[in-house]
Amino acid sequence: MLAFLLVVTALQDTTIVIHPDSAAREARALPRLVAEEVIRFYNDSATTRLVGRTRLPRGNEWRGNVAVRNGPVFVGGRVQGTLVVINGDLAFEPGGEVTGDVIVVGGIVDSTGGKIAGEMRQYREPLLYRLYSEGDEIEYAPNLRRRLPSASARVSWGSADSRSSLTIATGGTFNRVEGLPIVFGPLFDWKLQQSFRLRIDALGVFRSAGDLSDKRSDLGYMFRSELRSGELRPVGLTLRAFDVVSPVEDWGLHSNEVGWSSFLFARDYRDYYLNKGWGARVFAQPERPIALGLEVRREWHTSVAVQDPWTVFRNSDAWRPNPPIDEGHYTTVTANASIDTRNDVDDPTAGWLVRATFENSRSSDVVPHAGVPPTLRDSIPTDGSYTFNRMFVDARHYARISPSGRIHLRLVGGGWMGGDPLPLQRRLSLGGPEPMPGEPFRVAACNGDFVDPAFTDSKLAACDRVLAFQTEYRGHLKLNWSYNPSSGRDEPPREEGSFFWLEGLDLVVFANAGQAWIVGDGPGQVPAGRIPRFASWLVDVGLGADWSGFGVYLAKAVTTGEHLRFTVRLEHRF
Amino acid sequence: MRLVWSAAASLVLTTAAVAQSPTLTVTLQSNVPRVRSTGLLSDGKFVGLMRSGFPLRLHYRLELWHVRGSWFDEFIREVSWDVVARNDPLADDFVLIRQGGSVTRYATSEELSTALEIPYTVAMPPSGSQGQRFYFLARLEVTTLNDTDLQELSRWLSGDVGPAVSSGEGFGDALARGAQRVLVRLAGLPRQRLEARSTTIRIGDR
Repeated sequence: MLAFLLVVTALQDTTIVIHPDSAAREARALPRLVAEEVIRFYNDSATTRLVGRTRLPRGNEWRGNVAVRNGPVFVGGRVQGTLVVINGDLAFEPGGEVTGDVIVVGGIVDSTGGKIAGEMRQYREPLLYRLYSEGDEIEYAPNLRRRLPSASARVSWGSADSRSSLTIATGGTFNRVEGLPIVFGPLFDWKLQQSFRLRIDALGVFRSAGDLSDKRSDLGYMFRSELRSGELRPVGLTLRAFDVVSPVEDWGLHSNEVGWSSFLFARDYRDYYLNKGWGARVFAQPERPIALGLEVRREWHTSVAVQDPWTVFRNSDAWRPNPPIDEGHYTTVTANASIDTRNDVDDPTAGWLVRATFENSRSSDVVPHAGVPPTLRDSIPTDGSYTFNRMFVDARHYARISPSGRIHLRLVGGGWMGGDPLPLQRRLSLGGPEPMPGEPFRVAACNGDFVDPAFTDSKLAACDRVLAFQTEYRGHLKLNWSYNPSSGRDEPPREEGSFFWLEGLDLVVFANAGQAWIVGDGPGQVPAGRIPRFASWLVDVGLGADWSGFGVYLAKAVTTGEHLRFTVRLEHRF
Repeated sequence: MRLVWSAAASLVLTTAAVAQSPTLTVTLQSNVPRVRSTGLLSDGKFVGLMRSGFPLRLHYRLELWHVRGSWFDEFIREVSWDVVARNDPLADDFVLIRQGGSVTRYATSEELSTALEIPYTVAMPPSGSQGQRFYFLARLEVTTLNDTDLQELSRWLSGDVGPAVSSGEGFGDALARGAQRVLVRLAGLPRQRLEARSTTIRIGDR
């Protein structure tokens, strides 16, 4: 008994100290460029690879480049080449020397008493990698949850300072215009100088649904070149040219949800137009949570008709028509800013995400669609003076209010901000299934006056502005539900051997409110400096269960007589 | 006398029952949090899984919160760390890999259980002006890993295993991710999630 008490006492006095600065939280985002650089260096056939605690005693020498993973590394001798330490510390002993560069990721460098002829870089963030090629090489593996292979293939080659690859992958969302876009082509990445890189992507886009028009083939392209300086707080310049299909509104459902809905049930919740042009963008990230960008684009927008891609169910059903747009060449200047202080990108429980975009666009050859009723907008000038401003803001706050309860808030909205009326492809709407799952799709779309057959059944989004407020409470449920057909009625439920297992469910109770409207002084319109009367707002409430993003929701519109609506989601609502 | 023995027996049984139940606690020593889990292996379920080749991952997460007068408290910062435990069938013992890569072997599951109960002192004392109040929230998630996970996580123990930023996710990624979610949920492997909250600290109090 005495011995037991001594053991317990000793145990209580024993503790393991966790230093936040060296633990995971602070080390979350090793710049991707650095990760790729270190991996290329490690995998280079000329690099000597070592694993684990490593020591180079005084008077000894390594010749050539050396990479050590899972250090620490102690250098008392001489390294004739570059030394890279992956996920370990580096310490120099008196007389230790490296004739090349020193790069340490996931650790710190103590260079006291040592000598480094080249540059020295250290990153506290660890490299997230896994072994392959029978453990000889490593590859980037950022997330356990993403370890399944994606539908893409890539062949890469290069040295520690440059990389080239050929890639073929799915290029976006399955939709009723393109089917499944597939991108293919080369990517190049060069390290021009220290922390100064050039990246070039030249990708072709194959549209599985076929030709989009009689003037085009079923091939598009995306070319991008990016010059970037800095790794932790980068600044850079991007030039791009493109021939792609762009969505009209992309702020509702997530892209993969739109793709799944289209592919499975022939329900496409977006509209599209063909977008061909070029753009130049400068960007900077002065602090980790802050990103700023300014872009100039010259685009040629044209309408595109629905194709008939194959779907799993309802393959014989007709697709919703893709509405026409106001075609023409547009020159657009876009400024965007974002602040992201969330503690987790996939499943945040605290922090802010604010994204704002302002754009000024003009066109000298716009061709307004003749089917737009005059009650919707004033005439668009065709004398070369057409210009408009548009803004969009998405602000989210995540707050934990108890150990298992969270409140999430979102304010999203934007639209016309001045100048001439918006073209059709920059207009907005509000409805289900996101952000208002209790309402029908585009219930507020301002398209009631359209009589032109070109818009029939298209459910065109035609509003000038939209504003929506979303709030939800998430309570974590400790739900263990098992099904075991062999257990008798009198036996207690057993967890072992159960066929199904459910746990970690979030109960979600939510409410949404919002409206979309036409700006103006006419009947049914709202003056520019105001928002619609609250009495006219759409409101819905509901509840659901969210299973790490996969969720089922029931929602009921409060202000309209809609029936109860059921929605399945693949991602968190926001 | 019989009453005394009955009371003693009840106390022992109650204590044993409490000890059997997995718990997570956050205590404070001079405003420095100590996180301790107990009874994680007591029901034998995870030991059985380890013996069947499924290593355990223990993911700890400690959050510091500031008590505010408004509706919502303010998240200040967090720290997370991992521990992996597995059975080595050749040596017939248990291996515990801690943050930083230290490896310790234990001959029995009881010894491993005792080792898992060693508390963690997290050097994250709250700092603020006089009178401000703070508290800590701790979360422990025990999950089973397959061989691939174990290999990855063993490499990552010197760093974060949290999700990385993923933008521009394509249709293929979404397909894989959705299928993976379903598989993980239906795999039938048990998980354990524990949460605990510390008492509230007032800056300036002794």
